[in-house]
Amino acid sequence: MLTCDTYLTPESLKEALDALAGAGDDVRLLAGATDTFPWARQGRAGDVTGDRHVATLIDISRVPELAGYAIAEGRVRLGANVVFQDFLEDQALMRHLPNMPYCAVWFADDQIRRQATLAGNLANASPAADGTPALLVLNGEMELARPGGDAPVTRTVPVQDFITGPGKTVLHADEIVVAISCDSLAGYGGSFEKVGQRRSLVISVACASCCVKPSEDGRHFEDIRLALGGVGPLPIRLDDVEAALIGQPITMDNIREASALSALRVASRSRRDYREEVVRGFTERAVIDALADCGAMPDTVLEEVVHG
Amino acid sequence: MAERIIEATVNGRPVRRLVKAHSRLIDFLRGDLQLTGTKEGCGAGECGTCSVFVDGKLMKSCLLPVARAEGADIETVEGLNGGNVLGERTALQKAFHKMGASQCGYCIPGMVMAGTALLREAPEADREEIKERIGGNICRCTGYQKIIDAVELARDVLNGAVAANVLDNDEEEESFIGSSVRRIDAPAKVTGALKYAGDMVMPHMLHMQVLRSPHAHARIVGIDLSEAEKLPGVVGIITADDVPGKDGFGVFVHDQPVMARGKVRHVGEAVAAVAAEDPETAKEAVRRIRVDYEELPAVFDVDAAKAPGAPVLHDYAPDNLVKHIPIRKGDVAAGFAEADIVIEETFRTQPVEHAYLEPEAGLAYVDADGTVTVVSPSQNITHHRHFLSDILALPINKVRMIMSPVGGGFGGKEDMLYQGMLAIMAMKTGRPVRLTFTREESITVSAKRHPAHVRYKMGLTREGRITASEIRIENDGGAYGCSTEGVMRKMAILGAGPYDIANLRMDTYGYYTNNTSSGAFRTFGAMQGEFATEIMLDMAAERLGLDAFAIRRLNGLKDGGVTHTKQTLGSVSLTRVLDAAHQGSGWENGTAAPRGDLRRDLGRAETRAPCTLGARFTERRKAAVSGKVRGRGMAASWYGIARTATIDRAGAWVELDDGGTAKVLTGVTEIGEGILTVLAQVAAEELGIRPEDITLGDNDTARSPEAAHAGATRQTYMIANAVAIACRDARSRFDAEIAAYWDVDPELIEAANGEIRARGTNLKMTMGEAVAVCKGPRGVVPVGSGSYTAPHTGLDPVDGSGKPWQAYVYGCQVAEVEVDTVTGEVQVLGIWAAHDVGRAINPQGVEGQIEGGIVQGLGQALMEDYQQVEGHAVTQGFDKYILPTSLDVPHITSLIVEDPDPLSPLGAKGIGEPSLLPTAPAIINAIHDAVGIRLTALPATPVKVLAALSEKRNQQAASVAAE
Repeated sequence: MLTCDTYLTPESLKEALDALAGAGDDVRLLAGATDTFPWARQGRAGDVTGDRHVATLIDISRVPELAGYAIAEGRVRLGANVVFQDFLEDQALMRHLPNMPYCAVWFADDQIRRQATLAGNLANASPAADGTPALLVLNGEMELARPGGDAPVTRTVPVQDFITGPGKTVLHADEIVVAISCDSLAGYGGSFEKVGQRRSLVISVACASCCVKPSEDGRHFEDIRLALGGVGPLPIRLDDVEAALIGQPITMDNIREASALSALRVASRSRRDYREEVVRGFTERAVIDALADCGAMPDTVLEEVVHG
Repeated sequence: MAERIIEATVNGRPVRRLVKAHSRLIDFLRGDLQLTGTKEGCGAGECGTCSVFVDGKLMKSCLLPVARAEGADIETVEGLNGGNVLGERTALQKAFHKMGASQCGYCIPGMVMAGTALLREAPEADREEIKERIGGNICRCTGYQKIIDAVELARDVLNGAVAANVLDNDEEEESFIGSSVRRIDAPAKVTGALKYAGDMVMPHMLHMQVLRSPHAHARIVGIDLSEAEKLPGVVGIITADDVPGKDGFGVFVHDQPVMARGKVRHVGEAVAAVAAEDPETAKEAVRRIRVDYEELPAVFDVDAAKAPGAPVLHDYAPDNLVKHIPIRKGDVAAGFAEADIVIEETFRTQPVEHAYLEPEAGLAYVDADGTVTVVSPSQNITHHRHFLSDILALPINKVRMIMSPVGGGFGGKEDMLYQGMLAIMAMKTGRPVRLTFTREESITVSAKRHPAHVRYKMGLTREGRITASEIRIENDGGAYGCSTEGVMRKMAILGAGPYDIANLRMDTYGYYTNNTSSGAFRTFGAMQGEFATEIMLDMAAERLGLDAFAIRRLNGLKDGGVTHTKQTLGSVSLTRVLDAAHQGSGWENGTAAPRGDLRRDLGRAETRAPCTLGARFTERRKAAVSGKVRGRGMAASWYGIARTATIDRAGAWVELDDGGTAKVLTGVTEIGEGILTVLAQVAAEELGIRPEDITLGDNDTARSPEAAHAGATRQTYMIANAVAIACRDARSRFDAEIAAYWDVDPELIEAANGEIRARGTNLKMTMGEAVAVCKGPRGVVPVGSGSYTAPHTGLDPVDGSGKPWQAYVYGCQVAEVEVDTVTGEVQVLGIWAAHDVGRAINPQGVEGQIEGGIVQGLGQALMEDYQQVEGHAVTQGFDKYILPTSLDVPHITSLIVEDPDPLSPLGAKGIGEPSLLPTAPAIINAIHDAVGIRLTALPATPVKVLAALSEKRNQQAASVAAE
């Protein structure tokens, strides 16, 4: 059970930042809140009720500056209160962020997706977070605000620098994530692969995301972005696999050869590690499914994929 | 503690309440507004029993701060039809009723809400999309199939594709027996009207919280209650010192104290309990209790428990042995000498959590006549009353157990656990007391399926005939005896499978350890042994080049066969069951070597497509399918009906009542399987009235005759027969009076469907008129009673011989799987399940039991695993204890076989437990068929599957290199 002395519901970003600044150390922000209540239960027997008391809870769900999104100049700026379900229901977001619908549909379930924010998923910095590899692919940047005189002061941090380890980010105690901006990849094909122990409400053992743009004749990789999640303390952008594929013909051989590089990226882990086994084939899948998503899978690849 | 005012619209009405600011929406709905149709199954967003609409969007109210309700429009299950059993129900609620989609009912309000949300948002959703959209709601009883069927039916009605009157009308069969009469308890479940123990309140009620041990094994040096007692609002605190009578209970050995007495033996064991005016105060008081522990060395596995000099848990058992059951038949050494091949293998099965969605709860009070009453979801009110009488030092008629609606049991609510604390607290405070477990408490302290280590040796002839089996199964029984002795017995009797084995040596052992106790769980030990046997047979078939069905036909028990306990059987339906599964699944004969995609029987219409998420927004794109291989496997099973190796009995009283209705009283315990509906059908058929004319009085030890527990697949067999006998008794009295009134031979009287007549005459009247005649002119109240006995005998302590049951059932399932060789994931696409049930009194109910049992078996095969580290549960919530969702379940084809039991008046046997038995081995055998790996330790997680595949590849590479 979660208890608190004070529960605040600021109505503006400034109010929220001031509340955070004035709250002392024992404070917790509530955005989607989907992780907070389970966190407050995680006791073991002897303390099975696992109660947590937090002096101040700041509920930022009604802060208008955190709502909605904007698309301009090839970038999409997602307010921090954008929830996962939006990527399944908002046609513009689905078009501009082609890997996000696949990421979202694997995330928790319909009900939790209506509540859980993408920004919260990143801020929690779980190595198993689904949002992180998807945003790496989109060149995501976190927009962080802290109090500053008349207007909040903001800084921008790329997603790969934002997370520094399991549960750790560069977010300062007085800062709030206000938005995530990322590339618009309209016209790309997107994918998200995830493996866990079931197919709903599933926590990643490993996940991968890809966005791909074929050349106009559909024969070559014009652009491709790939990232892995869950395979180590930090998410991994597979820039070497990308470099090996950009400009190359779309063939199963090329995809396979390049994907093999991905296993090296988790090679620091013990040899028999499941993740190392899974990553290579997983990367292949992410590429193929992204190609399929934009209708660019050449027949030769299709043939081999279906019957191979 | 901060408070805030919440103004919201709830189910169309404005509400304004002062609430604790930290509360969740679920607390507001269930506590402040008493809208208890919203359930709390896990409190962590993992189960969906609390789903409600917030501004039109379905959300999990246990994850929402109450502040989010401010100004919002909230709709709960009560908003759908007023939470009124008598109100007009929505099309979806009606469809749930018609299709038999509810069993225990605890997930059902949330499931109805999830279905309602999807029909509002995606009225054209196909089956795949339906599964995806209800994927956040767990059901532990039904296996989801009938829920999905119900959503599809409601969708079609709402879209006009099917006439709406289909929801209200059913086809009438000739007899109520054998007819899928609708569940009589479904309306209360689909509307959220049914109150479970945790929903019940009484005036002046106290709230209880329990202090639990943080240690696996420790001596209690002292308990200091002084700080807790000072807290305002605390009314009572109890420890072992407050137990008035003989402290110790358990089904077989009375080794378990109500609260830890002198020492704790597992993490989470109750040490003290507090009752206070509200739960927060009780919790705070628990925090203030100081317990001084002296930690003791502990044992966490069987090997440690049986090692010389191991720490001892219970003084009476210095070797930590709870029970050893031996079965000896023939000469095993001679049998192995005859064998052409001998196969040896070891198997491990994991501890499994029942994961009923209703956490334990109870309410106790002292009646005006001084009777101590406990209301709780108990599967065995008869036994629990006996225990409590000793514990409380009260005459047995001053203890009353009332079973509240059980939100899932599966054996987990059979071993008593917390009822003693409630009773003692009610006696001590003189006030009603309620206790509700959190999910974490439930998982940490309730008994599990015994984890088993099976060492197996089987000898066979070249032709595939078993010449000898030697099986030794060691089980971790955990801290207390619970049902371990009975589980060892059933495991020993059934573990070698439904096969004719001339030479058998079987030993089962249950040991004490400082882990969570193991206890009763659907199949009561049969699963672990039969699992190993069915894998062994597949290995043997592979070695000998035989088909999986053929080796089982060859060895299977036949009519007049002799069991491992040397009992001679009458009719044995195994061959019929094998035939049904073989034909039903279109099984292609072939050796049990991996055939995988070479099989030509794959992908039949009764399988589902593999789940690729995103059904709602993408046409089935050509997703990558390379590396995915299918295969099929099968397994057979057997099970005994009713209590094992001891006489079983059940009683019932019946009264033909005014208006041609009837009261049926029996201490039956409905746990979601549908026994009340079965009893209504049986009584209606026997009395000549209709099921809706039956009023059932059940589940109360002070108001109904003993019928004992919901377990051992005994309720239809024992209690339906008792009801039938009681009805016949009432009818014979009644018919005599009516015959005298008409002046005809009583033999001529017959009644059906509310009408009574004298055969061969034109004499007839309604049953209502006839009851009036019987009571008025004749002056007789037509009552009857019945008792049914199953005269089983105990096992010989040396060789295990005996007649443990009079009725046996047989089963066979075929599983079709897809193995992803890239990720190690296994999806089960189809199960064909053939089961002999004796006589299917309610075929829809039988299917429900088969589907539910299979999905529990699938969970154990692929994902479920209760893990502890030094006695501490690490899978204490549904985020880590993984259950199958709607997206993980196969299409299930039930193939009901009926081989009526000659000793049962109704011919029916049972299905509750046996449906689970063949599932896990069939799936594991199918994985072998697909990719050639033989898993012997459950569950087959992606990590294990991929590791085995990798090992196989390495071995192949090594053997190629060697050449």
